[in-house]
Amino acid sequence: MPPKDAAAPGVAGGRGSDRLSGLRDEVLFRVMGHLPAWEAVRTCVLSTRWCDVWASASRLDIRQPRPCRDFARFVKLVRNLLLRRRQLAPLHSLRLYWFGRTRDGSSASSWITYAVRHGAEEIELSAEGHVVYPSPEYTSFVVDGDDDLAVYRLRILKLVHVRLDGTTLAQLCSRCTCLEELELKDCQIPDIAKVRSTMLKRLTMIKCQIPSGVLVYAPNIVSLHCVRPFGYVP
Amino acid sequence: MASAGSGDEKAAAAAMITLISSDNEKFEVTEATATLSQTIRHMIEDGCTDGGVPLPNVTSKILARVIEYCKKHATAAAGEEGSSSSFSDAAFLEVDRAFLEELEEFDDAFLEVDRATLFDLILAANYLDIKGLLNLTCQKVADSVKGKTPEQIREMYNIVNDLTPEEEAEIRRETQWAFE
Repeated sequence: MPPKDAAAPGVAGGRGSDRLSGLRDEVLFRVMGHLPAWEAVRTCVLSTRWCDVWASASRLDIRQPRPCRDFARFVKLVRNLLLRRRQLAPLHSLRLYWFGRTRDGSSASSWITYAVRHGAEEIELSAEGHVVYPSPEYTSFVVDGDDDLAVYRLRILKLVHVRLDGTTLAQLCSRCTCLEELELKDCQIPDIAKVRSTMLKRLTMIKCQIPSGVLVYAPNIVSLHCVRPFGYVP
Repeated sequence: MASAGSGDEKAAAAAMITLISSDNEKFEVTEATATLSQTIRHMIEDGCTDGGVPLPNVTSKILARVIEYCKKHATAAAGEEGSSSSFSDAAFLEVDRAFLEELEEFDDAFLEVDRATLFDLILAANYLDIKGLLNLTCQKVADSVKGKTPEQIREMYNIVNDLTPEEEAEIRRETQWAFE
């Protein structure tokens, strides 16, 4: 049976009524998920109804922290954001714009771990603002075997402007057991990498530097796109 | 009862569902269109759609728009299934791309509605559990507040600020990091 509690449209239809605040929690969480993370947080001062709405948004878009060139400040911002989120609120998607000067990826890795542990299905990590191609740690995308509480759901992974050595890529594909879509854009893959995954359905590589090639073993693949590669064509 | 498999287009076209709006207007739609709504899909699976599906929370005006959306996107979903089973050669990709663009244009035009209608669509999409439409409409609301100050958002949506000045100051202090 359909849910009965959905408010009938037009009931509170007066011109001056506040229909936005009247939306159900889960709808407001969804609206929050379509806002850049900082803007979502700032809705907390609207009224008492809004104090905690942002903290339960199931999608986090941390791509544009405004012209914030100071990496240390950015780290502090994201840390604050994740600390103050409602701890049990699931997180379906994380879009992260990662920038800085060094290859050190410890902070970005810890944020990804946070997302994976909160059941994220979709992660987009873009390091386009990075001067060098940073290397993310594949372990942050994987939940340790002894952690039974975490439900592992990562299905879609998009990586932009990162360096993936052979092990990283191979481990990502074989250990992210639910991974169905992998998109690599402007990535460096210096060694021969083996992509082995039984779940993988879509693999897209756009403008990647692949000097030594990639071996793909994915029996369930539906689509394989390779656009403007530099170097070897797999 | 029609079979759940939607592979055969003729069978899918033959299975019609009647939706009844809150003001008692009847709408005949194909099963493929109706099942974009998870709520209706479950009702079909439970076999309780004979004699029509009453939707007491949705007016005929809004239901007509919702069906318009579902029809368009049901064709899109069918097209996608078709292409994934074949080899995607260059020609296919071109067709795909053109179709996606058309779909995007449709969505943009679809959202050209006044705010009251937008909220009615959100409520209907949530009630009928149509994920695509819910995302689309929530995105539209999010876009409307993007880049606005809290004061501007309050004015836009008639949000009454029931926080005392002290409470508001306190919250702003706690979330200082997001306002900087």
